[in-house]
Amino acid sequence: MNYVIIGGGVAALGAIDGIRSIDAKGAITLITDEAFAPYSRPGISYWLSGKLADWGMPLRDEAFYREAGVTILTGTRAVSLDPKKKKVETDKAGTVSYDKLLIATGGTSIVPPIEGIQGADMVFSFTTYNDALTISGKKEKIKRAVVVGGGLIGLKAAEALNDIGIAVTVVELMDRIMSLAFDKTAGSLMEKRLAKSGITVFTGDSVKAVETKDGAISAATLASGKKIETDAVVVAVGVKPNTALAAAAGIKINRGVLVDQYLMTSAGDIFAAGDVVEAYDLAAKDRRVTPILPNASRQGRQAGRNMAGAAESYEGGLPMNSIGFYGLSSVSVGLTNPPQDAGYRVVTRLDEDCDIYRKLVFSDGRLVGAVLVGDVARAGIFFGLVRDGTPVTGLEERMLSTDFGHVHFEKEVRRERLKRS
Amino acid sequence: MRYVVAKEEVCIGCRLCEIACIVEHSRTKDIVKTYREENRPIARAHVEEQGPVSLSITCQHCTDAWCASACITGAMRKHPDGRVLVDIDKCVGCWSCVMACRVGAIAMDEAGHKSVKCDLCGDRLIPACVEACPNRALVVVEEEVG
Repeated sequence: MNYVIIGGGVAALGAIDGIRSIDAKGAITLITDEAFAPYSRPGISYWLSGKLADWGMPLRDEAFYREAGVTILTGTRAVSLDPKKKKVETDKAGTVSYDKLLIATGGTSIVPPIEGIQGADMVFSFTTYNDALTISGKKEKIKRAVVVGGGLIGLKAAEALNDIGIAVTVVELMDRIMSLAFDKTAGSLMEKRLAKSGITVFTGDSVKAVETKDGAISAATLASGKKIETDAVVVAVGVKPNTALAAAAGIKINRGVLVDQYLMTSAGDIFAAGDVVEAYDLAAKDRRVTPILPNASRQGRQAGRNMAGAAESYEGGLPMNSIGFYGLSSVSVGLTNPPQDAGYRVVTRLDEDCDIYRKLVFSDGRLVGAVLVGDVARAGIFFGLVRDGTPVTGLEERMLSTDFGHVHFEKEVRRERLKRS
Repeated sequence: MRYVVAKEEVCIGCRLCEIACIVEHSRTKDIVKTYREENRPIARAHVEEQGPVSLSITCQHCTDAWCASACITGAMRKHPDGRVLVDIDKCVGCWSCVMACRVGAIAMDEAGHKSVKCDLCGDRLIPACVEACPNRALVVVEEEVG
């Protein structure tokens, strides 16, 4: 069996683990257009601020790939693929044949419609090692930066830039940062912490236009009319799936590459996983593009197992984020901003003196979403309850206290919940 | 491979497992000196207690380790010997593993920004928590890898 993986993120790495958990021998070739073997993408913010060294960036060392029998073609672009002939055309490594193929091409940073941004120098995205290297190479020229977008990527970029002495302003369109996961209360707690640490956050505003001086960014004008002088703009309003390769091969796509319950695309023997895919999501009860690392890793692993013949259904993804700044941690899982009057029960606890907030969302006696700010110890218990749809009626208030645990369940439920995965 | 399971029927909630764990992971492995150690280790076992019920919860070294799936740097890994271990030099304290472990077995060293978890006491024949339990409420389970 000849396995080929296109892409070099955690979905690709998960697929290697998945394939090897079933097939110890088949040849595995990984094609990535980046210059590196799979590395920590979220790690780029830690790398930029010096908390993670170059050696810490690769997700696995060379010995891992050697022992797993994986050939990595770095700096190699998959130009086209032919599902009938089962071949991938590359720019540097000629034609690569496969028996089973994984499309794990990830996503690309979206450039929002900002007047004057096209072709301007000192505009960056922040999703790849190369992005971080580029910013680092020009950091002497950056005293001030504007980050467009107050989501996961934008805020981690802001933190890293702030850490290396750059004055950062984050501009977020919604009325709060992390708007997909947070409500106003959670957002405010985080915004306060960011402000205390020197990061300026403007919510409910957007960058309308940028000005340049000698071709490089010099200022940003906001929709509110505010004008911010700046040396750089980091664009972080989201990522869009890299579907072009799949689309050109006639594979069905919607927003992302469409897959069935086995993570197989409309073309036989071609699977897809990670940020490029539109796979089943437990919170939405539908297929969604949910570009977050744990989902990508899990999908990669499952796709790999199925490529090796397992025929197991993908368990389904969930929105889940763990993000913290300057000592204030947060975890959010599942449906955290439920629609009004749709029968959801929401319980919250706010302790403003300690920066602790807990919000739990229930439906039909089950936990469907959770936001924990300030105290995230054992947050996985909540994640597990959301995933498994465990009945929790009667425990709702109890779950707001920080000592909530398995001990509060009936013995049989507890036994089940403590089983190994 | 091995892992430690709790028998809640006989657990008396004395928390000696937590203390034994801290001492075992200290620099001196001496209970008195450990108490005075700077950056004293954090217990990898966690005793839950409610009324008459108590039990000690620690990593089950899952075959399908969700903590490793969620790890952003590759620090958390399932190793060929069956143990799930965190490479503290690679851990950046993002707590993604804490979010993904449904057992709630990963502790947080918040000052050091590192995840802390059961390593089955390295080369020890019997993990310190199991040895310390006065009521035999912790047992080592042995299974074949694979």
